[in-house]
Amino acid sequence: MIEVALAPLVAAMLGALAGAISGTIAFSLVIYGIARVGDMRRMGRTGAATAYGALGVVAGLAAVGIVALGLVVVTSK
Amino acid sequence: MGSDLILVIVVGTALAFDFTNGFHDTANVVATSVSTRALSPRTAVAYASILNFVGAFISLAVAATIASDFVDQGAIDETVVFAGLIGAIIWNLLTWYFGLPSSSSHALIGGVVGATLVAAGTGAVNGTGLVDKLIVPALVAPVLAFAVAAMAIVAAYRIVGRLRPGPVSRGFRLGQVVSGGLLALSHGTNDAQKTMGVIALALVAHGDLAQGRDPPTWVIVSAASAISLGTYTGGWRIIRTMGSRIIKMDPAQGFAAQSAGAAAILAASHFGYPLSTTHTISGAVMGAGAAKRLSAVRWGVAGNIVAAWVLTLPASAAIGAAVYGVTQLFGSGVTGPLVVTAALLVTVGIALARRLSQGRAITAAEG
Repeated sequence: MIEVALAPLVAAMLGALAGAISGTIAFSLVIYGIARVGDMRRMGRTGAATAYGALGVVAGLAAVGIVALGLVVVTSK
Repeated sequence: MGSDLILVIVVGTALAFDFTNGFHDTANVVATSVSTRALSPRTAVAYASILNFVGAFISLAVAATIASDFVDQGAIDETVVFAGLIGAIIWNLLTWYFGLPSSSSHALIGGVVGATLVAAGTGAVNGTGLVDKLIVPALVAPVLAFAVAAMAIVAAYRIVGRLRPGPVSRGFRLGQVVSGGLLALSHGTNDAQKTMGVIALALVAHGDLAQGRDPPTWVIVSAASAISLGTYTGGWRIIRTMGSRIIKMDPAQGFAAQSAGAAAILAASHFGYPLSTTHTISGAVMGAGAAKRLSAVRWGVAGNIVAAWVLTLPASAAIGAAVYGVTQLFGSGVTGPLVVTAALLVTVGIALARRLSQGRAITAAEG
């Protein structure tokens, strides 16, 4: 009887799912934040532009963090 | 002396296989970036080549799986590993000739298993390891990459869907420099380790490496160099396989597909699963396309991939077994592997020469 070790398989699946989707969402928020900064500036809404800029920066840091975390996990034994 | 020569032939064959793996897979790795114009073909190929090299150093879990989880290391010799490699190379050449999208990884494992079955019997093949570490992940990975890419692109469109398309495309093209780099890194990680695992298997059989030990540094460096060189050399070919044959993509889809493919391959590499990187990237590309419009995906290509997947393991196993049988016709020494290598080189040379001469004739007639 062949038994499949499900735990590592499920962990790999969840890792891939979490990494790719969180990375894509974070990077999409970077693009959203930067694009909206331009729009808000053109409309003269400085406060909103600053808020969207902050969103872009935070999302960018999150995207970098997600990639770094993924690489650290993969390189660790 | 004869045994040393067989080892040299096995290592050379394994590195040649690794080179062709990189050569064959360049298109898969860089097509998404090129088709969305995130990178120029020349830049994409050079970039992928460098990251293939780096990727080979970041994990050894897949190499350990190849070396110890499929066949009994103590029951095989260098000739078995050689026959497995030749079985994989012949299957790759056949599928390349007939245009089938085969998996080099499955061919390699199939070849080694087939040769082991003939040489040492069913007791030397680890059925549980094959199902657990190869067949189930091979089924799961493309489906997972498909689903993850689909979810990722839906999330991305939800966030950026109402923005002007120009800045969004520019942004995702920039993002593809990172996601494409991660895909190349993941490809180097998973695929170069398969060669390391096979060389480690030969070293164990030769008595140069203890069972369960990691491959020595020279194996890692040479496998990394071979796949990297293959990827760079493969760049001259027309890059259209994954990026445009399966689906036309926008940069957001390219980003989602590359992220999903890279995440699936890197996660699998961490747990020691030797995936077909071609199938995983194909699944991700199809997922990114299907989430936008089901009809955008060329399902016929997907069908070919499934057919090649089903055929590859048994076919390469049969060829590996047959090659082992041929080597044994010449005794258990180095003569068999030498004869097989010479025959393969002559056959490939003739096939390439015929193909080149046919190509020139067509060009002349058209001109």
